Amino acid sequence: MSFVPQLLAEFPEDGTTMKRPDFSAPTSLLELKHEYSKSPEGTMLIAGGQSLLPALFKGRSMPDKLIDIGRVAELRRLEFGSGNVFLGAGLTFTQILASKGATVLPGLVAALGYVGNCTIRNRATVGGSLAWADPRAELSLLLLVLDAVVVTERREFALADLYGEAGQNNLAPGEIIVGVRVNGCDAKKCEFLELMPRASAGRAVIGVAVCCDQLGSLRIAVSGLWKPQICASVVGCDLGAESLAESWLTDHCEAAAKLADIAFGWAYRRRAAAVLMTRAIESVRR
Amino acid sequence: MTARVQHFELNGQRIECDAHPSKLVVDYLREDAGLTGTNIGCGEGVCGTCSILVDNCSARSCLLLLGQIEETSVLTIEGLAGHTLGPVIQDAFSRHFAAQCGYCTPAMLLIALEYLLDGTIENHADKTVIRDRLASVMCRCTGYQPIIDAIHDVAKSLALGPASQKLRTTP
Repeated sequence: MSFVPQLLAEFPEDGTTMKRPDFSAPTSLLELKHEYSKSPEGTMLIAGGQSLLPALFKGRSMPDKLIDIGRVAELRRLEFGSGNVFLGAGLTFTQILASKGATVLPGLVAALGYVGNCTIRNRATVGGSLAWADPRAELSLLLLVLDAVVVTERREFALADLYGEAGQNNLAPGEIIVGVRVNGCDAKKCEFLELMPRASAGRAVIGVAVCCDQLGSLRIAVSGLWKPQICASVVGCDLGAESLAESWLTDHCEAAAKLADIAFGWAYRRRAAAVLMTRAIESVRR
Repeated sequence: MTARVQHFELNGQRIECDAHPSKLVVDYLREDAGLTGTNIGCGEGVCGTCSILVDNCSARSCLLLLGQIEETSVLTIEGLAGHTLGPVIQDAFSRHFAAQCGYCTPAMLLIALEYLLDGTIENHADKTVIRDRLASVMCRCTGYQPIIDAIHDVAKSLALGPASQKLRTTP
């Protein structure tokens, strides 16, 4: 018998209230596509499971089947070169940080360094993070300002189009994220800053990513204020960093539904966003 | 199709088990393998008390399915003494009195081993880095300081650097 009541409830031994989901772990993308296409509605892909499993426990519902993507070699592609980067969906954050090319993508080391802790980063994956569409996720915030392209097994599209207004992902049933690509990152400068209480259970409160291209145009993204992460460009602006940050936040204040946070009020988070944004703009302009 | 037979290495022993692949690893360890040294804390991946090492990387066994450890090498607290560094870390924890209630201690010891084996760290004796790494596990008794001191002590005595990769062996 499990010592954890909620786990017992979710995975009952007698099968009377809820059955354990079936499990498979394909080793190729072809096999994964075949498995997933059998019943995409009743199936969930699992990568690290660090967000998915707690949500399943709390949601009191289980899919019919879990497919582990951890052994699919095609999803672990990691390419850094000539200013272009490709991150496979199955790569863990620890694998990326340990790679020699991690510094090629500006801001990547800083952004991933804010994710949870070492144990979480050992399991958290690129694909899982993007698909989960957490409004506070670090990786997607950075990739938004870098104009990243999501590559699925059937199409390619801008990362910004992956997320809906309510913060959910817009993947079609059965669609599989293969990876994410960033082009021309050698010509960009990025800063990633985050406010989070540091403890074992520490979580992001506000995240800010700012990217500056060769022409001095900025792309700014913020997490922790609205349900979807908001990213927008600033072209030809000669305002000082503090004024620009305030102006950007004011312009986008009504852009989307506010993100609820029982621990940190709106005014506090907005102020924190302004401070972090000011610092990040100053950093990339330096 | 659900593969029913899982193969993996557990504390140096080759295991073939027929438990359901959707079973949580922590439940498998405690119920099926009888390895109750892996404690359950929050059960939702926050506290880190149930941490184990999978291929020398820490993982929360309450957020890990049995099917996900197929063909990996798992180390729990019961296997620590068989590892090259195990007794050294245990001795340091003992000397520094790096435990009070002891509930998080199995996880802390394994996190310490993972840290000391991490070849990407330049200076293992850096207390700031040690403290950052220990954020993976909650301790509500010690304030972490004696644990940091114990790990610092081991790192200093072994003069570990990137060359510690050579110690990446399974017990």
